[in-house]
Amino acid sequence: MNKQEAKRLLRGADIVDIQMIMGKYLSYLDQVDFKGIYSLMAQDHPEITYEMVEDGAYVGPENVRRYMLDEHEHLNNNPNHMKGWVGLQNILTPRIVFSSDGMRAKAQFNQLSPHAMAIAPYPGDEHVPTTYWFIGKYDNEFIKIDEEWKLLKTHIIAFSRTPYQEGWVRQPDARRIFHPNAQQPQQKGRIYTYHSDAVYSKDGNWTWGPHLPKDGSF
Amino acid sequence: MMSEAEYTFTEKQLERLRRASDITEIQMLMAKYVDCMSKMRAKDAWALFAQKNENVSIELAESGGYDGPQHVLQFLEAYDEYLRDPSDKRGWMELQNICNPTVTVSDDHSKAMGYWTILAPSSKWAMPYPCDQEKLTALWGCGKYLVEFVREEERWAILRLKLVWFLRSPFEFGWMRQADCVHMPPLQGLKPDREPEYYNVYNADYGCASGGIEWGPYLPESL
Repeated sequence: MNKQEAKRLLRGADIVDIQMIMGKYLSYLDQVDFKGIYSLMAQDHPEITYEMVEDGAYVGPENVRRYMLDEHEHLNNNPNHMKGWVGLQNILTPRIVFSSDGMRAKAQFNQLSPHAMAIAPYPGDEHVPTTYWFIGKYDNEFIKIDEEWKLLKTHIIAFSRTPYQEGWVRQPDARRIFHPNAQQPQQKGRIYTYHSDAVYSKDGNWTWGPHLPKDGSF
Repeated sequence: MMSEAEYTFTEKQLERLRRASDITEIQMLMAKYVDCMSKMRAKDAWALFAQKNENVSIELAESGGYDGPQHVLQFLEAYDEYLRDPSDKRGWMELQNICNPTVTVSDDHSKAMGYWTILAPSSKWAMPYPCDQEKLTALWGCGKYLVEFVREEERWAILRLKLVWFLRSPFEFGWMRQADCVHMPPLQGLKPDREPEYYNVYNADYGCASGGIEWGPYLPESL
């Protein structure tokens, strides 16, 4: 096997490894096991970040550790909060690009998932258990440490959380994440919600970003 | 064969690794194609095609087939222009999710063929029931990509790409009540080289047992 071929085969293994991290991530999420999710992360890296939709970004080893532990305890110790809860995340269309030195990867995974939680369906004046579709994507970064890929940055983006009865044109988003843990995020939340009155065009204000950089450009 | 220091692959094992590597590369290539469409930058997708191959072609739904490098590029440029035009893009959405990757690679690793099913939450100016008014409509798109690939020195490239929609159904009606509420006509100023090879819209009155419907196109047994 020549060096070029060996590089190709290893790149294939990198891609499979990263997809399997996301598979495990979702498996832990289905079990409401944020400690498990935390085990997949580059825990000591100064750039470690966790950002769940509009809730803001938790940045740095100590902040992310506290967030993950708080989330784990809160969701597992408040069964009423989880009543009727469905959040079956399906990730689709994996897209993975690599840094020029091959030590980092940026990856996006679309998401289309059936959910049910207490949110605010039309007319929006009541917070009630609601079936809804989550449409969005993960925009993540991975880092290779000691020949093992780790999750460095996680950013979950919602384009739509539309009630089953309405659809994304009539009510694009019936939810705003509220995390009861007291810790404040280090970066403010970002909103990417679809709007039926926004113009989506190649050179306009809106496409379906954020988008990935080119392979080898970072 | 195996020691702590080194491992020598058998030719059969190496062949499996090469095939897995080909399939992984091809999946990333298709993801990049879909990403170009999500970015509304259709012309950027040209970089993913076998640009110098006379057999290159593209066929997106019922907009027709475009054959040869010059016509495929013209089509992508025209589609890019269409995606730039804001006049019908208020509320526009077409988030293609490609699923069930199924890829066959030729024994000599020079060509491959694959299909992906598509599930695409979308919204477009369409004709929902009772079909007397065009309006912004949330719709589910379900369909399939059937794509041929060729190996070009250090990379795989798209040779022939076909997109078939089985349904583009208004969110509020579902595919039984209204399977298809929007079409993709030939782009302005372009004349396709041929009619689309595939047009396969779901109809609730069809039945598999009758042979009236199948969810093709499918891959051949071998390349």
